[in-house]
Amino acid sequence: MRPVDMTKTAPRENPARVFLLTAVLLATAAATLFILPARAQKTDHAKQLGGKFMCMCGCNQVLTQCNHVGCQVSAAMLKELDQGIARGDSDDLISQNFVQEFGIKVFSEPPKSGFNRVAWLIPGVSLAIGALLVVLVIRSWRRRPSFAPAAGSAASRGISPEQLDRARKLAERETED
Amino acid sequence: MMKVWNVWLVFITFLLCILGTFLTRSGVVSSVHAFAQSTIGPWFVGFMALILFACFAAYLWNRDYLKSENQLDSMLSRESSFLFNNLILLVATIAVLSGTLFPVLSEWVTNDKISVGAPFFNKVNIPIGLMLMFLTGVGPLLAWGRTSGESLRRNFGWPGAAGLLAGVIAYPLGFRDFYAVLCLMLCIFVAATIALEFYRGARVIHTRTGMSYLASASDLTLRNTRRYGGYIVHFGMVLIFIGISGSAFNKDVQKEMSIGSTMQIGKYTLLLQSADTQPEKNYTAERMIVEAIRTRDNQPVMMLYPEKRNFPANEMSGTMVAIYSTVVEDLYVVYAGRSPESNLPVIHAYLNPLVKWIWFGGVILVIGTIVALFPNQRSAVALARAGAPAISGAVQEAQNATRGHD
Repeated sequence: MRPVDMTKTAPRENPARVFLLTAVLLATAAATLFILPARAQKTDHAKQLGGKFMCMCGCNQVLTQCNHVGCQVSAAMLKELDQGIARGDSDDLISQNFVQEFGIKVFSEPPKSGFNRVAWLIPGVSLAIGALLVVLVIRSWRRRPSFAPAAGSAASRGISPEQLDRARKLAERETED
Repeated sequence: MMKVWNVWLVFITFLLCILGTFLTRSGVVSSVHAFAQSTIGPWFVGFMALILFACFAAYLWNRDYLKSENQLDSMLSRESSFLFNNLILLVATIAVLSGTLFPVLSEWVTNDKISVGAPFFNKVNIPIGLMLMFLTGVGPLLAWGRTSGESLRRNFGWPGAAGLLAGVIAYPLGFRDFYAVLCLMLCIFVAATIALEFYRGARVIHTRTGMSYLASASDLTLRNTRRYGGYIVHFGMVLIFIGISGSAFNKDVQKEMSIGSTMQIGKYTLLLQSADTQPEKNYTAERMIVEAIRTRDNQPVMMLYPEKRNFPANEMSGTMVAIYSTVVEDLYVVYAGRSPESNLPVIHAYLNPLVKWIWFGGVILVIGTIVALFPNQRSAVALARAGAPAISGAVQEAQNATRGHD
């Protein structure tokens, strides 16, 4: 390793160089975007509506994504869905037909009504409560006095606060920049 | 800081792994992996109780070692970002756990069975994942102890601008999904912060030693493996998130195909050339021979052989997916069997962009973890300069304090 000359100071940050670096990253991402299809494929109505139901064969997969080989249940349900759309039935009517046949467990998401609304609220509420707790914890920790210097620490080895402060600043410079 | 919390996170993680296995195997929640007619449930519950007891015992036995100085200087500090990071991961856990158990709870309360499928978990977890990605970028930019306004401006300026620019470029290019655009912006933001961190550190070494930037970056990583290994892990996560954001462009097509017919998916035309049947040792494979052609210039890209295997011994069948994988996208072709009405082969084709990025991200994540596990390979440069032993000791102490959480 070459000898280290610590007397040199680091040059001021060159924004152009930093920008160049981020531009390279951007270009990589942009290149990926360019080779992606210009527009997402427009899903047909049946595919969109089918995504709202579960396959009732017990596989616990969304109807349009059931990948069980020769699954008769999903085939029949998809056929019913296609026929409903072909007849010009509304989404609500198609959904009602499925609910009458299988119950509300046919929906791939919990209904946003009644007790089942709780499923949708839990993540948001836990985030809000957690954020409040974190803020309170941080505030309480900010008020705490510092611990007394432990045995073997800088103070107990006869290092003055000025020396420690100087050293800490040096260490911060070395590690942060 | 937070040693007790960290230890309990480890305990709870293990407990939840066992709980997850219990839930799927016992049939408490609907799963194809549940054991039919099994007495394994009480054993699982007993094992979980034993683990909980062991965790409590281990905690009580070691609690004297777990005392730590919980003190923070500012809400805007790296320590605070760790707390928020913990919160986001915990909320993600709660979201998955509550979603998994909710059908049981709902049935108990309302007597109605409900399903909680993939769409629910996607809707709930995508915002949480994006918050996590945001913190991944913000965390390293915050200083230990306290972050000044000037430091925020200096550190967030270019990465923030790069992220915004990515969003501006993405929209006219067809990114319409809000979360996909936001994910891309955050990924570029985080990648820029990582690049800045490496650049700044490497610049100092480059200035003082004359080494090239690449060698300086390598030297920098070896000097503080935990910190820079961590950044490599973050970059792996960026690639994984970019790969996941590609799912906004997933396409799939299903068609009953006669020999010689074609189907279109994305930039590919799939031509069903022929079909054959191959008897093997313990199964018979019904194979489709599909040619993938690039539609733009009619150039053949690859031959694909999706097949359906029928195992006569247990009267089961399975599909073998044919895959054409590139850095840009993965094309999956599945032979799903013959249509009951027409007896024609049913071909499913899926075009999923950026899947390889998820794999690359995973590999980089592992590399970063390995780097972080290695001890520092270079001594701190500050020691070389310090004249007085007292200063040298103080420098070492201060550096330990500063780097303690890297």
